[in-house]
Amino acid sequence: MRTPEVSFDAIGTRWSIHVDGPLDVVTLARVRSRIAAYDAVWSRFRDDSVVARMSREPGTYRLPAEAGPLLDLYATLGRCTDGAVSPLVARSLVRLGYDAGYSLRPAGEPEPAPAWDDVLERDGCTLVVREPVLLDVGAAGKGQLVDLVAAELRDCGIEEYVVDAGGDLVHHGGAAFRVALQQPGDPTRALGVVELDGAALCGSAVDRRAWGDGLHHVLDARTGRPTQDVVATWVVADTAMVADGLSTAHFFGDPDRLEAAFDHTYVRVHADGRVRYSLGLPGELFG
Amino acid sequence: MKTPHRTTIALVSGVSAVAALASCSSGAASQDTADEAVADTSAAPAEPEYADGTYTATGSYESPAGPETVGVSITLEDGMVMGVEVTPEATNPASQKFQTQFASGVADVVMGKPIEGLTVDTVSGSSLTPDGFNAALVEIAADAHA
Repeated sequence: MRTPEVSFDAIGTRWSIHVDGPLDVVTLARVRSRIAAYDAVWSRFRDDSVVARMSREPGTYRLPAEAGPLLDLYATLGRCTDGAVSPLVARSLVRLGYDAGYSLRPAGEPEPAPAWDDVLERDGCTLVVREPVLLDVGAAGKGQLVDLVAAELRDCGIEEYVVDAGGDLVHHGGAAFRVALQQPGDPTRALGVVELDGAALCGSAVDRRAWGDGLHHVLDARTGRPTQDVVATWVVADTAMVADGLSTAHFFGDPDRLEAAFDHTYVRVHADGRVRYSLGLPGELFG
Repeated sequence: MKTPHRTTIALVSGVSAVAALASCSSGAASQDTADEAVADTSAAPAEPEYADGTYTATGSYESPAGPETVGVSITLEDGMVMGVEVTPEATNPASQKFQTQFASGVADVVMGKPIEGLTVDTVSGSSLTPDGFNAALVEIAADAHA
């Protein structure tokens, strides 16, 4: 299972699927179609997605089943970070230039995200959009999609797999997967190695999507400004959705509060080089 | 980057552990206070200086569920604390959780290693950024040089 059985590009990242035998065409087709269906709802980088429609027209929108756990997670992360994590931060991102066309040129002063209750009403998977709002599930959506792809593999009878979406991955069955944690700013070096065994690992780093003058894609929803203190995070949790969401939350939140709310381990790299991490991290950091 | 002394003091006091700084070469740590450990240093000067090395101790304290212990290990280099390791030893689940959370508060110095020399299956953090993003960056760089 060391080398991937199949690799492809989707939702703007490189996917690799490792399984213990050949991956049949039917399973692969289900995987590709699962990803396409997710993208059709949640992508803010295409005009015809559901979230793109919500950003143009108020109304009542019925979302697929995955919206429930995803938006619940966002609500909890918002509470644990005093509002720093929000799925409504997209407008602030667009303001700074991280728009669908990647203009990467700020269009004005940073702008805080709107409060959820001011613009939206949610009942399960139904959203009532009172005024056009740009929903961005970028902090946890990719992780959730990794989980959903893993569920497709299990449904097709595959018990041992690794699903890797550009470094956000989930492992199930078979030997542990060793993952190097890349040093921020230096792709040739690693800060440590995580032994992933029946769990998910997601990371977030500001150097990967920076476009100058301290501008990058991890914004504090309360101010609309890029965060400055933490530069990279990794989280190991049971699901990739939770690991992904927490990897963003750890840029803002108090780690003890996050640890109390979610069962997980983490690594936080600060701008001054300090590293804070859970003792229970499955793996090692190089001292 | 060196971890300043005060971090360590805050860490140790944070758990109310009565920890002794006993040299690892001297074997088992006694449960003295840190002050006494300073006094034990041979020919203690007015400004006590600690020899380089790793010092370990076990702190004991009274939790609501009974007595518990926690292991603390400190590495000194040129009088600076270069590393702190806390080993949870609690038997009570609640204490275990608190000790693990406390231990996770340790800020450490981490030195990157070349990935080339590591045996790993993949790398996290080096993921491809969206193609459009990368293309836009190239364009901006070109504009900047124009």
